Amino acid sequence: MEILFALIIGSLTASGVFLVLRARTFPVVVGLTLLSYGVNLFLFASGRLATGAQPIIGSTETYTDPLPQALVLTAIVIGFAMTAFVVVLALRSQADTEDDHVNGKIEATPPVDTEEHAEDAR
Amino acid sequence: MLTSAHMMALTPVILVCATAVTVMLGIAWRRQHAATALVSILGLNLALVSLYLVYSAGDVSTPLLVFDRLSMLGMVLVLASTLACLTMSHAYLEGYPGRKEEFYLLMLCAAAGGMVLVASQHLATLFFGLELLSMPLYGMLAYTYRDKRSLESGIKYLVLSAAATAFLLFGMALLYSQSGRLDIAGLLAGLESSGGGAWALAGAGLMLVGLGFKLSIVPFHLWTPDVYQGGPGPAATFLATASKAAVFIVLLRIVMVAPAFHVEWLHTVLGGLALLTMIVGNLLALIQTNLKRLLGYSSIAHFGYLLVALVVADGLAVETAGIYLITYLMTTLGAFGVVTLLSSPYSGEDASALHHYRGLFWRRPYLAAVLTVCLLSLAGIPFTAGFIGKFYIVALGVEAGRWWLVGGIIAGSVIGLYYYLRVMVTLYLVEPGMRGRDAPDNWGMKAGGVVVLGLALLVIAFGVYPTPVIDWMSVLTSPVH
Amino acid sequence: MTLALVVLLPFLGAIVAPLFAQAGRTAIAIASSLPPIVALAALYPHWSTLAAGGVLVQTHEWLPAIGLSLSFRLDGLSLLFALLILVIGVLIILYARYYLKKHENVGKFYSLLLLFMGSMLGIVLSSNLLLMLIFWELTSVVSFLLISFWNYKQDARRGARMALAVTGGGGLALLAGVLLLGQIVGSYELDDVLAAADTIKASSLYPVALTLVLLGAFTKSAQFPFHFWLPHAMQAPTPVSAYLHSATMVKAGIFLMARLYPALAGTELWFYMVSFTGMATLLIGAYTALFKHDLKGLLAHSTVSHLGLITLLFGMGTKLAAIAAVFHVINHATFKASLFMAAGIIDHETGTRDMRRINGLWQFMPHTATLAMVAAASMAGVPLLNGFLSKEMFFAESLNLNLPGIWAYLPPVVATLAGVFAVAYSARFIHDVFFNGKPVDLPIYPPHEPPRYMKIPVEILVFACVMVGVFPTFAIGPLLYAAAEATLAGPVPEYHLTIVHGFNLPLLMSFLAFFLGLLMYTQRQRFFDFHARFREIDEKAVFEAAVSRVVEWARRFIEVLENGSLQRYVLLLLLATLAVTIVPITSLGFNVGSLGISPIDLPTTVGSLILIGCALGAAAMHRERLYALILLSVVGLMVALTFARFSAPDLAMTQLSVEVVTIVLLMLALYYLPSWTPREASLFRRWRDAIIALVAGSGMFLITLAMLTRPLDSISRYFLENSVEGGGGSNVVNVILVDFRGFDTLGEITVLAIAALGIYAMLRETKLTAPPTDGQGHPWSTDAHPTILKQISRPLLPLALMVSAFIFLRGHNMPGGGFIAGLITAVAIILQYIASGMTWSHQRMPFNLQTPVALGLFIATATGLASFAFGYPFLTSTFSHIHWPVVGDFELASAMAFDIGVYLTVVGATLMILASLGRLTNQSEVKPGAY
Repeated sequence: MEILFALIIGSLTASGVFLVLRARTFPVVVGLTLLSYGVNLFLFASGRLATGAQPIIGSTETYTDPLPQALVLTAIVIGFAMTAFVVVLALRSQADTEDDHVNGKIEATPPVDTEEHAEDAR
Repeated sequence: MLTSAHMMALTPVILVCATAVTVMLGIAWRRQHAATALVSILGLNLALVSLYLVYSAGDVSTPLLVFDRLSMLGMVLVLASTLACLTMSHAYLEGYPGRKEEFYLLMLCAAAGGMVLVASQHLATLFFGLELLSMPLYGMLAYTYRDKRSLESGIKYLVLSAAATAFLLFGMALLYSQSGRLDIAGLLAGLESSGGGAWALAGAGLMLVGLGFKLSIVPFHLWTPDVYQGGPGPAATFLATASKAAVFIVLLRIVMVAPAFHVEWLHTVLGGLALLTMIVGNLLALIQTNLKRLLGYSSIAHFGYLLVALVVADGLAVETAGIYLITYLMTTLGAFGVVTLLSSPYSGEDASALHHYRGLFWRRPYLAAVLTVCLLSLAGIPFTAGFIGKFYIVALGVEAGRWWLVGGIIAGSVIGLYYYLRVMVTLYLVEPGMRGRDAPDNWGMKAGGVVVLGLALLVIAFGVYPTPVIDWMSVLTSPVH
Repeated sequence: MTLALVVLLPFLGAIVAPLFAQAGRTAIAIASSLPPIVALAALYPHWSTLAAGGVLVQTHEWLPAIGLSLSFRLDGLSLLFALLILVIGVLIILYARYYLKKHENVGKFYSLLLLFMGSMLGIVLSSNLLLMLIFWELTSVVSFLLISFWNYKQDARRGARMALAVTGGGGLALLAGVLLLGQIVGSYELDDVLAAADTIKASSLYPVALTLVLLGAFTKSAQFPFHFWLPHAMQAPTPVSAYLHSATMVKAGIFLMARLYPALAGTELWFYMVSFTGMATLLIGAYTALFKHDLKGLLAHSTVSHLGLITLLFGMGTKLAAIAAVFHVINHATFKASLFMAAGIIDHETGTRDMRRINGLWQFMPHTATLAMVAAASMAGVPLLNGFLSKEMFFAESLNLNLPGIWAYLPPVVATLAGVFAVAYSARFIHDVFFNGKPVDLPIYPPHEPPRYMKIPVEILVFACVMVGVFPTFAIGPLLYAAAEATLAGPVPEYHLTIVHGFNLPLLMSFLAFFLGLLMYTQRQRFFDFHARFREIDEKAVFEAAVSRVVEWARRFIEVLENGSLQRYVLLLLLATLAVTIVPITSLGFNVGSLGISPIDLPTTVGSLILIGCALGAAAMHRERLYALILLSVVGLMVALTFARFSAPDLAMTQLSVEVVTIVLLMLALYYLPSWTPREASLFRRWRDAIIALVAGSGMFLITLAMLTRPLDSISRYFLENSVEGGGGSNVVNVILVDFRGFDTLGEITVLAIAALGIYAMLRETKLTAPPTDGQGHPWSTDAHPTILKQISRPLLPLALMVSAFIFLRGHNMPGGGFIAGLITAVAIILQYIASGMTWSHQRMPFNLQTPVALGLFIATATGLASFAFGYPFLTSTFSHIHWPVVGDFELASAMAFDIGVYLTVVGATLMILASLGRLTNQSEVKPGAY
């Protein structure tokens, strides 16, 4: 069971990382979502796995660890808000640049102004 | 369980949240830019006043939040910085063609997040405080989305933040899996007793990445210059001041609380990061010709110096960090404030290219003087606040015998002298025919102008007579437990 | 108070003087000369005390917290330097009146000059090392501003930057050194530091402290290898060169060595570091000076050489050497300042400083020539002039060093050799400039004598040279004695200020230097030819090259790392994280822990495999976005099932509802985005990313496996035990959220609300044109709202609302709660939007979506406040159980009101996010402005 679970997290992470490294916004969003699934599951797993031990008093004999679950709940919501945000920013960028490349289409002004230093180097 | 004392302690946070709700309801009812700004400023001032009352009431601790002197310091810094940013936003947004009021709402929420963050003593509050602080920032950075750079800065910050958050959560999970605790004190005690070295260190390292990202510690700093340059002036200012201050305070709390973290490995890593940060930050600032980028790199470098306090992490470290943070905030607010004023009212990309500042003195002598004071302070010249900060940091390094770090501070400061003063000289160059962007004629009469002038005076006053602040700091940061 | 006043006066003058700029150069010169004259008058009454060996210390508190006090000290040494600063300062002010042109910014010049004077006085009068350091840094900055006074000259700007980088850097090293001294001694007061000399020298930190302090002194006083900034500082106006870069500022390092002499000197380390640095500087400066064709260049290198001489004397460590050093400080200041002023006059009158063009000026300006020749003779060490006296003492001391073996010859040989060079370059200064034929095409011809008053400062200084040279005891004796006493901080050995001590070895060395020097000058062409064979090292070029190399590195660094590409940043962030955490992560021990592996069952296996397959599939098929999205939704579903399978029903429900909303969101987004991702990345890049992903994935696999099989001792027992009685609910997760973590939930919904508001603000005025066809080229269906969907969805709404009410109510005991209920409601409503269109739905929900959000947040916050008002702690449940027929037993907790707030916010925020996107759809199909 633990191996399976670890495999799930591993494959979610791998897919997520691969997609986040893509150049278009949509795969990046999908990648972030997968990554957040992975992290949430990992966070959840830090309370260890238990079968039929839901933390509801009176429902079972033993209870699993509720603390990470509470944290994961927060993480899910925040992850959702983030996804929504990034989707909207991607749409805006699509609206402005007619393109969904992550870096927009700003004419490549070099971050370094060469003029002053060229003058200095002379 | 919570009691009325807890309630009292929460008042400042609640006041900020209440202001945010008021502003939100106000927007739904009727849009009025000036009124929104006024309500926001009023609310923040009320929160500051209530903070004083809370401070005099003594320390209060809840399972999630702690209201001790350190968090009071953090809240004051966050609130004051927010206040300055908010004030500057008004003039800036005057010219913005879209909706203006939501910006205040976002900033207020971010301030609330910062306040929660500085007071958090539980990983849950830490996490959500951090997100509450960051989430509005995405919106603030991309607020002037008609400018592509602004939009792009929002996307960059968001995507990278998401990755950093993933690391943070990952680190938390590792720490929990070792200690079974989520409250910081208990967690560290748990780590201590369980002695799970590698797990604790891996968790701590990953959390350091998550927080270090927000502080733009090298090598997690890559987003900083792009985002500072692209985001609208007030948003970049907030990011460089209130946000960083809040994150640094919580990092300081964790490191100070945690004897478990005082292991050689972590010191080595922190020391290495500090050295790398000050050198890389300063070196890259050297070649910038865009003032906002330059200030971005300079803020990276300054947090490199601040990390020294974390590396030493005993004796005067907290006091030093507090003093340095205050000097940094004053100066950075002033410098960014000038950039914001020069870009006010909003009309496309901010006036941040250095050539806009050529001969500024001959057009706007007082504004140029303010920027001069701030640059001198950033360079750490005597009789400015920056010198006091630098003095404390070097003293701390010397006292702890961290020679590499002292050497790094000196080398970094030398490079700093070079580029700060280069900018300063630019302000006074006479170049007929050069006309850069300019501040509105009546800038000094606007609230933002008053704030900037006040900050410059404060920088000098603190540089000449810092005793009140130093006394306050030594009281504030001395542990009472 | 007087001493503080003396320091303060020039600063006040710096503020006031520019006001006179309008009134003309004479007025501002007079105004500027007042502060130093008053300061001199203020110092005069103390002379009797000092002559009797007394010391005046005045202390005012400033920053006791850091040990910084406004304490000033007047003793022989500081008096000597203060006199140099003030007297030469007045002369320079007078001189600059004629040197500066009418149109120049005299206000700025005099203001900066006075600022410098004040800072320099601060250095020499400080009795607190930190105070001294503050003034020290100020002199660096003011010097920077003065060198770049003509800031339209690029050379001036560069020279200024270089000077600042070197001296400012040295100042920072000094800061560290002073802090270290303060740490050793426990005080920064000079008295304490000097008294603790033995403690300092015995301390293990002494070598570090000494090195740092000397770094400060050497950079300021242009000692080898930091000497290169001084010649390039000559871009400054000549009065500045005369004042700062020969007479005063460059002596600050010397002053520091003199001031700390009792505390630091007398060790082997001091001897080797200081004397060898001095020797190297002495020789290099003197040698280079010979080959400079620029008048000021010659003087600058000669200054370097003389500074080396003084340093060498201090390094020798004997008392007589220290006295000679102090003496030479005075002599050098007088003759070098007058020479610089003479050079400025020549520059002023001829328009050039090139000695190959300036010849035979004797005919044109005999008066100036006489003055310059006397001063230059003093520089060469001609008898009956002050330079001779201190040089004799120097020669004598160089013979007294007890170095082992053949090394004993080194100092006298070096001294004589430097003397030879000094005579040679002085001869060149005299002969080349004033004789040696006719001038060669001067820009201003014929040159004539300068204005009368411009020569007065030179005359006064030259007169001083002669007076000291002829009547040393009378002219300088008492002052020198007082200064020596202060420097040594103890008894002064016997010394004689007489012109000739008899025929002895030092005198022989002088003669030797004199004749060899003249010989060298007559044969100078050979030396020039010899020197020309070596490539001239232009220190500024080297420095600038070093700077541009650093700049180049930085630029390359930026090009590689910070090219503005988000992908690059993500990649680097991953790698950096790995680099920081690699050590502990690899030492985690990737193996199965003590808990072992639990058995698997078939449904779980199948589900997990589906999840894994879909996750990998989404990555593999990401270019076809719709498929990727479908796969993503399956993954989300399976994650929810995983939560359910491993005893987390709450998480499962939340995950499920969030998943639905996310997918709806992404579907809406995909409508506008291209449905294909073009293949852009190179094969290499794809493989590289795949490998990185694989490494990350396997790492996570191993860590997870290791973690899952380790035992855990959790605090959760507390929550499990306290949930029912403390929170009044049996669903521990929910109780934790609402009661223990009320704030967390509050914050969480705030985050959601912020995201919604941000999105709303951002999409408010956006107009997106939907693509006319889908990705495969099929046109969209013209039926905007299919009837079947419409008919099915409408009854779904009340059903969904009922479900959410159910989940909401039982939330406290069973999985559910305000959050999930809110999401379900939101999804149900959004379905109406999709099925029946924005306009239809909006007519039935005629309110602004911001209202529920604000209201919800308000209720959630107010609940806490209300329970507080009723005497209950914030967000504590006050509950009474009510039996409810279908739902079962549930309690009416005050936390329920809180849950209502959560519910409202979640519904409002989610709808706002989705509707903002949906509205974009609407704009493209229905008439604009329908919303």
